[in-house]
Amino acid sequence: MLEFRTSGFNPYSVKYSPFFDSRLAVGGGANFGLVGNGRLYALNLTANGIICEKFFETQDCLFDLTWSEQHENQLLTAGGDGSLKLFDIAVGEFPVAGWQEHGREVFSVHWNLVNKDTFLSSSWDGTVKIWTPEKKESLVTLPVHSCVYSAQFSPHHQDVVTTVSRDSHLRVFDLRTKPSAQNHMTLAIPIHAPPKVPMPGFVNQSTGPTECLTHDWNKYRDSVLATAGVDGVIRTFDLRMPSGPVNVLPGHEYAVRRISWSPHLSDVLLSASYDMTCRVWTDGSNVDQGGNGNGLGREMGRMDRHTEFAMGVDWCLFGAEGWCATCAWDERVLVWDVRDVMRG
Amino acid sequence: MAEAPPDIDLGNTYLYHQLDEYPWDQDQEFQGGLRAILGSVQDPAQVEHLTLRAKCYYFARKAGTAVDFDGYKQWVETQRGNVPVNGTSQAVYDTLSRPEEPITSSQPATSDSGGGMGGMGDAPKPASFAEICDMIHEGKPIPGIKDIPDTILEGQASDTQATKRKKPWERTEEDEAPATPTWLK
Repeated sequence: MLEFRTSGFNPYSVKYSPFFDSRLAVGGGANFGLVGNGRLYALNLTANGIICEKFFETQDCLFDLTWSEQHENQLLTAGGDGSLKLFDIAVGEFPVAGWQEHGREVFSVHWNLVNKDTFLSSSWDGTVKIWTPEKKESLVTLPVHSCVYSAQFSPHHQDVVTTVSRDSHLRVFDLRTKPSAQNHMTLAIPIHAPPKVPMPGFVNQSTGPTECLTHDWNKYRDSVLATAGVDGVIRTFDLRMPSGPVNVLPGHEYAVRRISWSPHLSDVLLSASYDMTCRVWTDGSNVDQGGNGNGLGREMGRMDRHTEFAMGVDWCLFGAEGWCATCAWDERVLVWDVRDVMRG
Repeated sequence: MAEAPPDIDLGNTYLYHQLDEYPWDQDQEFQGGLRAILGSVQDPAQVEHLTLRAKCYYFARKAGTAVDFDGYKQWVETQRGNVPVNGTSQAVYDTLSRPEEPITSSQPATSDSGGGMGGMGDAPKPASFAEICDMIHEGKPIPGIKDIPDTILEGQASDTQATKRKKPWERTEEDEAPATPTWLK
């Protein structure tokens, strides 16, 4: 396990470069993001540990970041002051571009993995905005009417966007549809709904709506997503059966702050929680492991080395399938191999 | 969330007066920097915001003393009799509203668009988290906040040299996937 200390700053997000398996970025803020400056670190993994290649200072906390899919030196940050900034780690101390339209904190940013030339932002102001690096103004604004903690482009369709928000809903937007009264929205799924198919052994303890903090698209099954949030439960959804979750993965003692499906294995995902643990799960869909496409999911292992809220988790896209990075409010970034914590 | 404005302490007031009376118009260095910062900004509110920020940054550097931007902005608005209805400036409101939510609201809201600081609920927070919340609520200055200029290095981006790589899920059989990380070789 490798470690990097972000002394004086509490990380909110860690992301692997889509170009190099040795490049990472971490964003966060002083004073837990409540007040004070933000900082963005570009890190290099070396045989001698993690080296800080460069850092940038910002006025306000950075709640999220995403690497550019078109430029290996560039990455975009989500600012507590509502700003988006594009930094170039080969250039200066300031961003090379910036955007300011959101009325409140920007909480997530995501680059389009398919067309690679658009990105999106989601904000506490209840909107998602779609942008391109070349234009000063946003291309599209999607109203969600609830604090949007997480928004993503589908990794399979360049025009499909999903959001999860404070109002306990997973929404699907299709930008190819006409911007009618629905503003491109094609689905709104209540996350707290009971599972569609009763699961043996699962008692629905949901007490109602739960703030949803994070979600991620499965990389191999193009209609499957996972969500997680304040009730500590990870749920998977299949957009072909949108009325309720397909699978439910309880276990975290407090809110789940971030989840990420493996880029290598179709049934595996990682989570980071306010219970300070990061856990690796299977949703039970892997036929080779006894699943039949909709089996029972389970926790396969956990990493419990963080000592404050675990906030960020990401998988390395390249090389062996277990490498990942996590960050937590203990001012640490850890790089480790999931296979070391998995039970047989 | 109407909060009483934090009491403005006298030391800061003196500093704000100094800031206010500084001959900004005659300081060529400042005016040059300000022009660079403002660039093509047109919106009067934005111009005012950036100008105030630049003044704080410049003055703090020249005088070697910290200037609380939010405090100064609030003071300027108070001087002008331009205090919003809830008695506190938007800048202060914004700063306060971020920590306000997780402490008072553990119940999820259903239809508002207000923020929730990531829904911490009843998870036990770090000890220093509460201290910082208290300082904010009591209007105490938070130490160590730097003013970072809003500079954008327009047109200075580096050239891209790396080729785009396929994601693991986009690979075909022929694409080679090396198992050992490059940084371990």
